[in-house]
Amino acid sequence: MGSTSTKIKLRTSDQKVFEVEKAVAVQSQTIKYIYENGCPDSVIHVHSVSGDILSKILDYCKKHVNSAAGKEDISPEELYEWDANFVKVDQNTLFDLILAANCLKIESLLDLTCQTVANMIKGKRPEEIRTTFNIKNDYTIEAEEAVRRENKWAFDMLGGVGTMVIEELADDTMSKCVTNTKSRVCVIAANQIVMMRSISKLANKKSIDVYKQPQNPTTPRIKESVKQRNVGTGFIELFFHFKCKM
Amino acid sequence: MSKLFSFSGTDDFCPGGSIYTNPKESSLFLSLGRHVDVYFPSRKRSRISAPFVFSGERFEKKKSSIEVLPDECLFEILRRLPGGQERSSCACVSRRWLTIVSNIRSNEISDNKTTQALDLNYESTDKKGGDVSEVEDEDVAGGYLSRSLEGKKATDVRLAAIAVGTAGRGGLGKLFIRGSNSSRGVTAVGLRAISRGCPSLRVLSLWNLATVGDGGLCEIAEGCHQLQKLDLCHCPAITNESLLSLAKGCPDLTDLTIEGCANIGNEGIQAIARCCPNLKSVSIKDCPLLGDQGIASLLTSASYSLSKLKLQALNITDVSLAVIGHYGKAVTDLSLASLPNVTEKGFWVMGNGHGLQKLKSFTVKACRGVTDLGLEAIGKGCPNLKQFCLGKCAFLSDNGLVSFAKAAGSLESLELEECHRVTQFGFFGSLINCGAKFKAISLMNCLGIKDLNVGLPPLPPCESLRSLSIRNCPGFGDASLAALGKLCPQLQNVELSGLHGITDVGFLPLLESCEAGLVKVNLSGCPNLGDKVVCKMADLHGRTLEMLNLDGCKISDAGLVAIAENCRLLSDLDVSKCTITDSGIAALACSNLIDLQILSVSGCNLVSDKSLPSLGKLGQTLLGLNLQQCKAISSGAVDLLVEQLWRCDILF
Repeated sequence: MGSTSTKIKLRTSDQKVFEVEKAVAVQSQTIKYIYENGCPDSVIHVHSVSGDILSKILDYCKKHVNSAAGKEDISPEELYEWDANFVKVDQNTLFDLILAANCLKIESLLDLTCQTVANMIKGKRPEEIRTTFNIKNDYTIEAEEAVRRENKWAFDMLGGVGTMVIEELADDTMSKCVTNTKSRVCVIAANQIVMMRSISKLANKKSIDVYKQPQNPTTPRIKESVKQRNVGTGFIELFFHFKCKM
Repeated sequence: MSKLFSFSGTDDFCPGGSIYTNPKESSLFLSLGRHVDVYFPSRKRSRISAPFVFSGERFEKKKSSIEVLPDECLFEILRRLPGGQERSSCACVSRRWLTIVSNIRSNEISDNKTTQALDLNYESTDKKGGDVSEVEDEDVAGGYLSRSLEGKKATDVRLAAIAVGTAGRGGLGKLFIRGSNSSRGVTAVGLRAISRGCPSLRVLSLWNLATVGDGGLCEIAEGCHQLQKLDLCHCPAITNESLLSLAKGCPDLTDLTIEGCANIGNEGIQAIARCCPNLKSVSIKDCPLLGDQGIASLLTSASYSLSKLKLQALNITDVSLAVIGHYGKAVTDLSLASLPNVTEKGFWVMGNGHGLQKLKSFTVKACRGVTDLGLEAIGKGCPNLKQFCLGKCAFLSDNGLVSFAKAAGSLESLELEECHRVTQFGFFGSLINCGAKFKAISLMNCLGIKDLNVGLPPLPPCESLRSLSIRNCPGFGDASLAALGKLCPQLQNVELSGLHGITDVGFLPLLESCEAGLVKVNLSGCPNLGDKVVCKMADLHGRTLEMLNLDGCKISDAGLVAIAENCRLLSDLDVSKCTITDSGIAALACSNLIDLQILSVSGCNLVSDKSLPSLGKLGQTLLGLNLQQCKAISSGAVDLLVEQLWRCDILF
């Protein structure tokens, strides 16, 4: 047996057997470990991976081994594109790939697949993430409220960059946030937007007391005071104190 | 709850109305009954997304859900999220996601640029979102934010949310958790999230948390290496283990406060003292396991850094005091309270140890060992002692007080509380014998003080005394007051509260003797002082008076008129429970001189709605107005004031 073409046999959970070159198979740290510490001629069971998935994984490993070894004439950009196409699969397959990459300990595949999912998450609001991935919301109402309050970046209610939203103003509300100076502040009370203010306009004042007169009697009247403090480059910590009267 | 499950009445599946009493019952979806009208005209699509409509059992395998991934895979995904905004969004998705996101350490966040390049192939729904991420990636997480959780809100979920939410927006610097006896309190899980997400934490304060144990604090020690101030109060599950790991993990610790932690003892304190070279302030209260050994090693290790030391309700003995006296080379503030096993010898040795050269402020309360001898030793041994407060001492006599005043040459401020053996002779004796820098004296609840019944011989005045405070010493009377006036002509701040024994007769001479103008005068609770005093005061000291408190005195409108005419610097006026009426307030308002900032007329039942215009005019400069218990002012009037004086904080 030539050392350049040692083959390893892999059996999957659905009893399919794959025979692959050693160089390809040992991309998986798990297989490498088993191969080096077990009997080299026997079949290695990868019982947590199905045949379809293993087949795809072996394609990936082969492509990467060949490109690294120079057997295939493929530029780095082309390899990126190949990787990108590789992960254009449905969610179920993608998750199976992740599970398998984790179990087989294939670092680069795990990185690729996880980054793919991370990119799918990017830019989405929590509700959209739940819809995309079918996640059940197991928060109680209070807990969800608390978590959102603490993580209020700009759940883009008004289509603007970094809008700090203070929702559902209660009678006496204190709210603190750190936001970048490009943001706006929006106050919503009784489902009406009662105040929109640009942070940059607040930037030069130490504290502002403004009492807003309502245009119509049903709009809540807000007395606000805002204190701001520079915290690092481009960031302001704002401390709002609102007194609301309906 | 999830909007996916919310079915509103208008989105019917079929025109006949929903036949499903509970749409979530999956079995009903498997077969549509014959009585259901399947045809429905085109209308806006149902809000339910397709997979959930067929949520019967036989269809479950087709549903893809990220929930199949184990935590470690989800961790790998979430740690590759590029920015704080994404992590915040993920934290809001579900409890499991919150747990995983909050456990990502900052050095585990991947910034793998090569695979992020794949992002170009995917559309971002929020195109402008990229802008925000870039800005916050550059920011230094310097621990600018502070958060405080109290009572029912002190939960692990909130801590995890804070850890994620503050991370990209300035970083958490101060965290205060005040627990309660709820079952769902803070545990090590929450503190682990804080330690992973808030490496810039500087101040941590944990009160009343029975569920927090060593596990939680060890996590903090592992993650928050910049911790400077630690405050543990009534956390009985914390033992020396925590302090040992904090000593290793947080070498920058400067302030340590421990109260009511029954399981913390000598080893913990020793470890902190050894490993934290910047330890400046230590305050330990009510820890029965802590003994002389701990205090001794604390002082010897931190001899040159420890500047504030406060020991209360501990089982320490004279040995500790001896060590403090010898090794407390950097101590500037020392406070000893409720130490039952300390005797006179301890204080004597402490004073004679000559180590407390830098001691500026010394407070002793409820320690049996404070006697004349001990105190004199302290006075001699601490040449820089400026402030001395003594409380609940039954043994100090007049002679002891006088010899202390003589010995402590740098003394500036003396406070005596419940020292019942001290009499008026000791009081005056200390004023006569004090050093040249003596500025302030205060007596509170000293029942031994009685009125002077003999005249004092002509004495050189005490030119340095600026502040006088005598509270609730029932024996203090007019003769003493008059004598004080003669003795201390440079008084500026006078507080005589709760003294029923003084009247106009005693106070007027004091007003006349004060050559430097009075600045702050507090006469609350002296029911026998009246208008004459106020008029005289306004006349003689109107040019310097800034604060005047006449709560409970017999003041009427005449007094207010006098104030209005003369007191141009007055900013804080309290005439609670006085017999003033609307015309008095009007006089205040009409005055051109006065710019009041704080006014209290609480309990003045003769002030009615007629004062409204006057209060409005005063309100132009007012920052605080107290109208509590003013029975004659209607709530309508109060509302009007609240609206009009929006800059002012009104109590009603």
